[in-house]
Amino acid sequence: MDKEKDNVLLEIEHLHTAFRINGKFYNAVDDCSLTLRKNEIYAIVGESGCGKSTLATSIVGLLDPLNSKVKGSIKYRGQELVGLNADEYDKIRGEDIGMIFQDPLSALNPLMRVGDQITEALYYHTKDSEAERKKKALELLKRVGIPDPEGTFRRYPHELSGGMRQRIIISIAVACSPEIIIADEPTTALDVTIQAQIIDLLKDIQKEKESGIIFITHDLGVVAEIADRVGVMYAGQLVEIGSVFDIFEDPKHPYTRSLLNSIPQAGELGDRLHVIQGNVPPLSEMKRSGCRFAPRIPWIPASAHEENPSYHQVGDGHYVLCTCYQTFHFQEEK
Amino acid sequence: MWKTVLRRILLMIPQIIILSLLVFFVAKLMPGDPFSGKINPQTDPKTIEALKHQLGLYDPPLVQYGHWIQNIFKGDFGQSYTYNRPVLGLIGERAANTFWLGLLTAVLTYAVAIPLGLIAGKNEGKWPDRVIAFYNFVINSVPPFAIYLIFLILFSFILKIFPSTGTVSASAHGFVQIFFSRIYHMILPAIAMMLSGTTAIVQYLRSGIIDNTKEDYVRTARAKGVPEKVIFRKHILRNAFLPIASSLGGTITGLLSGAIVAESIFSYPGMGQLFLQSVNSRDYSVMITLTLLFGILTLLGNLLSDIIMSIVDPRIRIQ
Repeated sequence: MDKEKDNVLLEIEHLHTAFRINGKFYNAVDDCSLTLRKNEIYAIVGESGCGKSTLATSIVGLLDPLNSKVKGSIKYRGQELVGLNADEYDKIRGEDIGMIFQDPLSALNPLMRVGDQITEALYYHTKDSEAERKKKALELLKRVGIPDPEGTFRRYPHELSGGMRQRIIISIAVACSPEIIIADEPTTALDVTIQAQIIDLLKDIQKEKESGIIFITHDLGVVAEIADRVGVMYAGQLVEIGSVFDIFEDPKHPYTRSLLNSIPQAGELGDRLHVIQGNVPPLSEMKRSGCRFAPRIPWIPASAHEENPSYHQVGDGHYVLCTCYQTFHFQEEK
Repeated sequence: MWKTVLRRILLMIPQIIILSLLVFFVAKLMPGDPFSGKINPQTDPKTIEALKHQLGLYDPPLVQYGHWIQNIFKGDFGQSYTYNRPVLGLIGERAANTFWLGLLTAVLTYAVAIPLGLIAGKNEGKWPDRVIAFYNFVINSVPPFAIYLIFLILFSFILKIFPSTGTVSASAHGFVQIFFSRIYHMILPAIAMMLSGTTAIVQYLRSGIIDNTKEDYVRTARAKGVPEKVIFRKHILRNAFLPIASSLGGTITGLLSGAIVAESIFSYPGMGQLFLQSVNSRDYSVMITLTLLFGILTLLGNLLSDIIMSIVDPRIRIQ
């Protein structure tokens, strides 16, 4: 039991993150709970605007405090993060939780040499001397697969390719060997071959450091490749949680099934691609009661949904929100 | 890089030749001549005609231009008809006065604009930002010449705090006295010119700070655990200063055009005042030489901007 507790890195319970729109607060993340363990890659997948990036930024406390509100509990090894002030958060960010961002083109300061941007992270979390910091930074550059660490150390971001820059960002995130890495769509802005390299790199680093990764993405292909556990997010809620096998082999929630059905398959030449009707509703127009996916599957009778959707366990560690999964069928199936 | 700078300077030569042609012919196209309204009506028109012939004013314009260029290469920029002395010496005297006034104005401008921009940018939407926005609005709405006139009337004539004319008082003796007397004479036009110079810088800096605060690389720095104060100083501010650095060269042009009006209103004997006088009295050689000089200074200002940018922004390299 103690060992199990030791393994838990991050415990998120009933997290609500709200943004102010025209003076009113709307929940972008609505009652999300998840547990991240050591050695685990937890993928959060969903369409644009479903709240997955908000979830990631809430964990590291990087939301604009004036226009957002975080409620609920985020515990890092038992320490409550919700409500920490900036100084307290600065001790955790970079040291215990590293973050990798989506767009490597804009995530580096254009006026600073990349070496200085890596050592900056070490400066605030270690007592290393300048020479030691530089040595560590060079090792990191080598570790993330930069061919010429010495030369790259002195380069500016614009002199590097997108893939190289993403490697730099990864090296910044892992500089202090954090236990948790939060990767917010780290491969979205890269082309496919570079994507694969970055994913392999992240997997290697995760194994090496035994860290836990929260991996945010909209790309199910990437999820299949990297994740241990998957949370499928829709309209601010985790509608289905399970192991990567549960999600791909035995998806339950209509949204998960629709997503998987939308992936183009080789060999189905000429078939129409499955399209999920409608869009994720804007924050201010989202309905707050009942099953939020119901408007996008109008052929399913209202009686199939729960009035107040709750989680149903359908397997070991496999949970589904709302009862509509029991009777769901695709429109063309009848 | 210095090779490129040299090449850029060489490329200026054709630009300057075109400018000189333009300036020369536009000047000749102006109605009137150096004698308009200047000569005793009782003077024999034949004498005036003879003088005009003597000055070459009846030669074909191209011939006049040729003479002028020839003389320039001999180091002779012509005679001022109004002052009856060589143009070069005249401009040299005035240039020093304008240089010091410009320098003081520039120093004051940055000394006032940078703190205002910082305060406005850091307090977006709060009352200090609104007060500064109001200041910008007022200064930008009032034309500079009106500001100069208001200053002159208020501080020189009503309050009598500052002199309304000249560069130095006749009673000043010794270096220290002359130094302070000069500053005392410059301070009113300098402050008046400074006001209109600040608004753009304040606005650049304010929006630079606000925009850069929202940039992804700032989020990266926060995710590293860098304290907010350091992020502001090391990351945001350096990026926010880029547009100001690039506008540094342009301030030369701004100061010169400001000087033309300000020196005339404050009766400050600099190049600006001389320029306006020379235009009004058709003092061709002075007018043309000054316009050429302003043109060359503007070109140099642009080059200076590019050099500064290539130093402060690693993405821009002159090659």
